[in-house]
Formats: sequence, structure tokens, C-alpha cells
Amino acid sequence: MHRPGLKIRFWTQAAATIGSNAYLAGLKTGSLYTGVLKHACVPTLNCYSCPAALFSCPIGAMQVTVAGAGGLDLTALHTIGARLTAISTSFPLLVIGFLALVGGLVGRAACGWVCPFGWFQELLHRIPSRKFVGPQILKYLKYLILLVFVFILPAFWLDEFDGGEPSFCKYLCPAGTLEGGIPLAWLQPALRSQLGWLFTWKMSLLALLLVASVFFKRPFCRWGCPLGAFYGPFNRVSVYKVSFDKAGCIECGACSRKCPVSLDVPREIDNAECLRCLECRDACPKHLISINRQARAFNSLTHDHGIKP
Amino acid sequence: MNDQIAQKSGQTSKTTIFVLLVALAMIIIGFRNGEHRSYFQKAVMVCTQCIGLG
Repeated sequence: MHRPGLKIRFWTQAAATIGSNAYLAGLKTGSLYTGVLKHACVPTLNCYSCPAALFSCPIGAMQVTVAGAGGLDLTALHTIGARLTAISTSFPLLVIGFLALVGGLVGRAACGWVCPFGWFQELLHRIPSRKFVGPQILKYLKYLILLVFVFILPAFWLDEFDGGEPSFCKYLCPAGTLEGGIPLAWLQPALRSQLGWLFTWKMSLLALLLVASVFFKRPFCRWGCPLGAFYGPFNRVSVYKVSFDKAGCIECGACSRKCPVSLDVPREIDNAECLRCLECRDACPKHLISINRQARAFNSLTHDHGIKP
Repeated sequence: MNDQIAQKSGQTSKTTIFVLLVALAMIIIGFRNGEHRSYFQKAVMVCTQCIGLG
């Protein structure tokens, strides 16, 4: 079957991966890009400590902003009340606003179309092997990770200098290990000599995840990614939506087999897990899946009110 | 039936517009607060936590 949409998505993912990691000098020297572009975040998980990264990671940026609440004023931060006050004045509005804007426009489409780490998992899943769906209950884990490792621990687990630390980056992030840890350890012998148990832990997590990606579809996106957890609820309200004509469905299962996050497409097409990748649309023999019903309603509403979309 | 769908779409669209406006407001406030400078400082140096150094 000719599926032009899939090719477009593949090349979009490739272009996004290369475009957000195009600082080639960093790959030669092991130094990081320090230019003005790093003031901006990409809408995906892409480690800013990758020697080739041109932009900042939104999850890293959120943690840094929360962890750095209070700035250099280290006085009176020992009580929870004082810490909450400090955080309220240093909440990551910019990054959350940016992600909410992306989510409000396209839902989780950023995960499906431009995330380098998601793409990498999809490539690994092409390795021939027996495939599994995995337990659905694990999808809730990513919400817990978002809450605990991105907000609560950076905010309240303080070091000896009364500063927080990016706990998700430190203990869990496989993209950081893959894009930052491994290349920097390779390129900077001085760093390599200092790596210890934490690097071993993170390498083990990464290895586990990469092996799991061969057998399960995008396991990190489905079960562990805090960015996916953030975007998920926006699927309900985003401008760009996917709709499904249930009346004409012949239950052939072609759409569900193609779904990169193992959704039961006829029943779950537009829930918080949907990546808006349109693989199901391209696979449906009856052409029952379409986009932009919501976008059309959005257009009519904004035109009714004289607002230009 | 069509009226119900249209009403639901309209409500969702209003929610969508509200979400987008709030997001834009947050971006503007965050930018004015200079939030981008705080994570920029972190992003241009090797993040020891990210790479597993601790």
C-alpha cells in the first residue's frame, strides 16, 4: 500500500533530529553550543548537554527554574513555607506556557512528529523480533514521574547549599545519557575518569529501555516520558485533532496494528496517549480517520467572533 | 444530534482558545521575568546531572 504520510513523518522526524542537533563543532571537540538559540526550548525531549544541541530541553529548563527558586538568596529557605514562597516567584511560566501553546495547537503531535528520542525508539522497534503490547497500567507512571521528578523533588529536595537539582535529568532521563552522557564521556577523557555509580545506573536504564524498544512500541514515550504526560491532556482540547467515523468501521484492526503506541484505535483514537502521527489514517482501508474536525470548528468560532486564527 | 455535536465542538473550541490565550500570557510573563536567562546559564555548561556525573 502506498502510504505517503509515513514517509513524510519519517523525514520530518529525521529533519527535526538533525535540525535540533546541528552544532557539528561540538561533536568534534566535546564542547557545547553557547549561542543565543539556547535561550529557546525545543518542544521535545532533547538534552541540552548534547554536544550538538542547538536548543534547550523544556523538561531540563523546567527543573532548573524550579530548583533554582530563590536564586542566590540562600537565607530563610529552610522551611517549606519559605520554599513555597521562593518557588511562587520563580515558577517556570515561560516553559510551561510554551509547552501549553504547543499542546493547545497540536496536542501530542510533537511526540509523534519531531521527537528525536521517540524516533530512535521507533527505529529500534523495526528490528525483527516478537512484539508485545505491554501492561496498559504503566501509562500512568509518566504522570507520577512528571509530578515527582520534575516538580516536587527539584523544589523540595535541597542540597547543602539550599538549592534543588534536576532530579529527572539526574536519575532517570535516558535521552540525557544517550545524547549527553555517552558523547561527552567519549569526547572528554577528563570527564570519563570521574564517572561513577550514577553513570552506571543511567547507562543500565538506557540499555534496558533500548532493549525494550525492540519488543515494545515506544516504551519510554508510553510509560516514562514527563513531556508526554504534560502534552497528553491537551489532546482533548487541541486545535489539531484526529476524528474517526465509527459507523463505517469493519473492525479489521489495521489501524491498531500500525499505531506506534499500541492504542486500540477505534476506541482510543483521541485519548491522552495518541501521538497524532496519522499512521492509523494511512492504514485504514475505509478511510474513516481524518484530521481537523476540531480545527474546522475552531475556525468557524473564531470567524464568528471576528478573531483571525 | 448534530446540534449536540456542534455545541460540544463549540465548547471545546472555547476551551482551546482559553488554553492558547493563557499559554501566550504565561510566555509573555515568563519572558519578561527573564526566565530564559536562568536555564540558559545551565544549558551552556555541561550538566553534570544530565550526563550521569552527579
